[in-house]
Amino acid sequence: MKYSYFPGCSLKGLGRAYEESLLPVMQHLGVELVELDDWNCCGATAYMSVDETKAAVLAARNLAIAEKAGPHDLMAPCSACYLVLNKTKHNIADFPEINAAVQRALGNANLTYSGNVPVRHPLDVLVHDVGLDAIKEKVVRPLKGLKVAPYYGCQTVRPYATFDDAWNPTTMDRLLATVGAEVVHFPLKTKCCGGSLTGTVPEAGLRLTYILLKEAVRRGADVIATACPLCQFNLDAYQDQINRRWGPARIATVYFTQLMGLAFGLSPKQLGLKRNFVPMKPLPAEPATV
Amino acid sequence: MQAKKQGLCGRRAASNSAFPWGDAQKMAGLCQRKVRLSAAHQLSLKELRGIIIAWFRGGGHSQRPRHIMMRIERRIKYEGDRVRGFAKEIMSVSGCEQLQSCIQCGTCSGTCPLSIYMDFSPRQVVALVRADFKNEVLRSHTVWLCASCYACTVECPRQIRITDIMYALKQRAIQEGIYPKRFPIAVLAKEFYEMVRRQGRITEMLLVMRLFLKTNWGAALGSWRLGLGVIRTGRFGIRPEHIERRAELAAMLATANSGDGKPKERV
Amino acid sequence: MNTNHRNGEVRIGFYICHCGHNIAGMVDCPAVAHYIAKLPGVVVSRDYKYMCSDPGQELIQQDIREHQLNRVVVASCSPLLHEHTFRNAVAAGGLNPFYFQMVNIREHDSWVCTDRGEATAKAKSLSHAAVCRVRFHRALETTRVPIHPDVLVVGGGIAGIHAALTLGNAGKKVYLVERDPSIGGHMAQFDKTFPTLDCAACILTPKMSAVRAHENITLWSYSEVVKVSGYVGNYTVTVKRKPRYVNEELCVGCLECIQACIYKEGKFPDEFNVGLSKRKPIYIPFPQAVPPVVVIDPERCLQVRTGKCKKTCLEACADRKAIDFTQKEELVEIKVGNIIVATGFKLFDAKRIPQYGYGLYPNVVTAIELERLVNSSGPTAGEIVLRDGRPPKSVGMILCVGSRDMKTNRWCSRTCCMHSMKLAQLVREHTDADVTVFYMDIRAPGKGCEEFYDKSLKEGIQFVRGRVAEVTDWALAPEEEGKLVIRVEDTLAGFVRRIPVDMIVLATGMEPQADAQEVRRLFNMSCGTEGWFLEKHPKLAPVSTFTDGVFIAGCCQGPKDIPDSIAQSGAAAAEAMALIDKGYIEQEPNTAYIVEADCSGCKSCIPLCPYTAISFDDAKQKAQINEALCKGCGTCVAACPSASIRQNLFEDEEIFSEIEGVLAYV
Repeated sequence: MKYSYFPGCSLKGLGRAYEESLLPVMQHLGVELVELDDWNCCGATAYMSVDETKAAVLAARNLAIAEKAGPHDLMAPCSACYLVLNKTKHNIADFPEINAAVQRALGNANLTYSGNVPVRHPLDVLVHDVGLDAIKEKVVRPLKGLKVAPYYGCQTVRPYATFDDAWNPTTMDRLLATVGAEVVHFPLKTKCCGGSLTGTVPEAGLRLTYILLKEAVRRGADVIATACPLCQFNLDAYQDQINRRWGPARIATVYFTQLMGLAFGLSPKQLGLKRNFVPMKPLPAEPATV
Repeated sequence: MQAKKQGLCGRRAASNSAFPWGDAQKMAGLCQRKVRLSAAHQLSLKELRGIIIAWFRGGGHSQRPRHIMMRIERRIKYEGDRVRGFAKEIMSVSGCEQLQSCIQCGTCSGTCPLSIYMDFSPRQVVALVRADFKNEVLRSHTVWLCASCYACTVECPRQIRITDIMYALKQRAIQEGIYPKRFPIAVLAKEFYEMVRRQGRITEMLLVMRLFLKTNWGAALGSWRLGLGVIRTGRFGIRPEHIERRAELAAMLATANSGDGKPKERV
Repeated sequence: MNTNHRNGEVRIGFYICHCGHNIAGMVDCPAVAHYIAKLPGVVVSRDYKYMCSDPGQELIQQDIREHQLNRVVVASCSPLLHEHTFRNAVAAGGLNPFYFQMVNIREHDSWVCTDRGEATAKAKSLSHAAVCRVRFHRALETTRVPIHPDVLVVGGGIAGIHAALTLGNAGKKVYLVERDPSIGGHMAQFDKTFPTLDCAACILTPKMSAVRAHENITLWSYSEVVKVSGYVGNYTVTVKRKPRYVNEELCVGCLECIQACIYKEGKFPDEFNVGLSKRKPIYIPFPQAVPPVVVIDPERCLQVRTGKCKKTCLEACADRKAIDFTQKEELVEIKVGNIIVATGFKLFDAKRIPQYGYGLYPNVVTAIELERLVNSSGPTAGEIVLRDGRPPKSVGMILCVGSRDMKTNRWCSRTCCMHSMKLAQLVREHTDADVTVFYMDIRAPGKGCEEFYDKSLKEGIQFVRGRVAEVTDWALAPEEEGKLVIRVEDTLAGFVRRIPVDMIVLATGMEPQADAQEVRRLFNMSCGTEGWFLEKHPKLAPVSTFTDGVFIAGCCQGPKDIPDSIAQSGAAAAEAMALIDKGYIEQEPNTAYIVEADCSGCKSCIPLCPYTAISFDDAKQKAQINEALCKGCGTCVAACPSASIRQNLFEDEEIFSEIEGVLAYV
């Protein structure tokens, strides 16, 4: 299985642990990832706030490069990138004026876009392409006794609920159960963490993060598993500030790929677990510290 | 509260003119001066006097009338306040036509995690847009507090793409320059835009630093703990990330103009 | 039939109407009359102010007599309006009415042209065409189709019951077929009805008993219609009578067999109590069931499934011997003249909106479930309780669940506002709990309904205008612990609220029945895009369908409350009665017919007919058309490769000559 791989700016920056855990896990499962040649930023929420057409052109460049790279699907692990690329695909298909602007702009760079490359999320690829059975086979150290709260964030399943339900998604739940973890019932699994508002309007953004942390602790989770680098940063890096403002809520947040990697027997250091602000508690009945 | 207790104005107005408090006109002027308590509340000295007197007299008994902060404001909207054609303009943005069908049910505000911080809820914003109240909408906080979580879009029973409407309003606000220049969200959007235009990619730490520099030095200094944490966990990177074919990207972006022919944003 | 020939020649009378100023204002009528007078075959050519008036009609009749006319053409308004009038006038003058042709020079000419010259030229053209055409007309007769006096009513809910009683009282023989073991439908499940708060069972059961006792009504419960063939006035219907394993004539409804069943307690979800209680495999749907006969569930009964059971039920019924495990499914064929379809609705499945937590949180119930809880013969004997048995202290009622929502059902289910307010009042009566109703709009249009809304307000029921975004079980404040929290924007007050409640009631909307598509094909009816059975005209013909002789009534046509269902079923009964009492219907002879000699037996026409009017005669190896079903759409005429199908009133010669006439002026 081969996929074009779009890391996005975050996976090379604050979210590097996601890439550090995703690549070995995929390799372990025999999935080949080819990083997209000279990919550019997808634009995230910021570009859409400034100019809609430019945002489409920016994202379309990546889609055109992916098309040129070959007939493989494009995997975008960062939820924001996943959303923006899919949204651009839809906009180009549904709105002729955006299509015209994009084709014109791409033409300037000798690129074409015909809308054939599907943009996939790693959860989708793992559960539907690789399959839970294949994943189960690779598990050497099942995460027994580890209570995980699966947190999808908002952009993984909204507004395009293509591979999972928008209100109650279960791909990550099933994936974590396959690697042996005990998945806790976490009703806030798709509630927004605050996004970029945690830095710009902390009284609003951080409170959303606080609510998530508090509920995860209440439900008895040992760790929160995320699929988005911004969610991971928000849930991980601001706990001191949150504790000071509203009250105690201390729980580690990791990427679901890091948990998968641990279950496959890969070393915590290799998986980037050292990059957590709030370290993950040691796995039950495992002597080595994280 | 930064009030300076200047004594009981008005009482000694007519007496000794040697004292500054004796000058009746000056007193009247002083009494009208506003005292700033917070962004939302201002009191004139007269009101302040009233509070202090009430506090001395009232002393916490529940049956005494308590002084309420009451600002008398006249709020009525005339037809002239509407900007005709604004609703049509927003509806012409791709994906925003369904706005016409809004039945004001309130599901969007009910599900929006940020609606409790907004001055106009998402539902009210849609009503205002539909009624052409452009100035009220662009001056509200709502569009800037939208986190684009798409909960509203997914729940709306009329399938209105509210998040896209928020984006369209953000674009208009930036184009027209209607946002507080130090307000971090709009500045973040513009800095992000600039960085991508020049480099093709974002270097998060650099972006954050630029943002703090432009908006709030105090917050930058206050976040030293966060900065240290980022360095400690090995996530710090200020080497600017960029793509190889920057010129190609610049050429592409240059040809992409918004279809409505409005003047380009002042970035 | 009076053809009035004089030596076989065609003698045409042409009349152009001024229609006051409507036509004459734009068309030069005398000029047209003058032009037409010169055409061959035209004996009389007049213009007159109002042809449809009595003097106008008399003019035609007089001319037929005096000038021995054998063809008449009138150029005036739309045939939809006055073709019938003029045909009758021609017939009264002694000429076959189908020797008449009408030209529309009002809607097609004077009302759409802006230039007098053009309008007059067009009128001349069209009239010329009609004059050319009419010479080829032949004398035709309307056919009469006799109507069988019996009626089939499908569906034993309140609409079906009322239609059956109305027809039965009028002396017609009615078959009432209901697929559940008892009639009564959804109304039997309700506790009280709005706006009068009448007890539903008290007003329904007398009607149900009347059905059973009526000499003219044959009640077939636990039966389904499986085949319908024929046409208006002559339907042959096959009804499948499912085996109850209990003889209806012998069972007296003592219920001893249920007591005796080897299942000591109920184990299977009780359909009447919407799954809130359990029943045994042998059961009676509810105490007032009609017929008051026990029924055995073939999928759950041990004896029926495996043949290995002690059959304690048989022992209990030893003296009457009503239980009969040898019963088999029976197919009965009946002949009826009209069919009234009143198959009702089903409720929206609240699981489709996971945000409201139905199925996830135990204390989220639907309105029909609450209806059963409130009812004194329900699973809790009228006690409104939470799943753990405690009475609720606060109840939230969410309206428009699955209605007015583009993601699920777009329509408004019309009764939910009212029945939710009714339930709210009943909850207050039974428990004194705080009740809050969450709505987008309160729709209370019926008689007494606005007053009912006011009564609800006066009883202290809280109304919050805001569509509920979600129901959650996580708490943000101490008073929310252990409760279900509703997050909603109170749009009238202007802020977002979190409201903790003990119990949530979802007002689920109405939907077409799950098998609506199969049923409508069975009766050859159309459906709207939403799945409700389609009426002939939404304003003027709400109970007729496009298939003559098949009528619809009640919620199968669209969501409505009980008074409207009864009104519609009365209307359907009246329409059926009109046909039966007349005894026949007349059909316009614009039907297609097959010239057998030319038919090659290729069968291309058969699947094309939208009215299934063409069948194949195996003996002759030719297609044949049933005139009674044919509506004259012309599809088969156009499709026939050997041109052996022709259509009355639209023969090839008629059409070609019309075309020549139009082009002649050019």
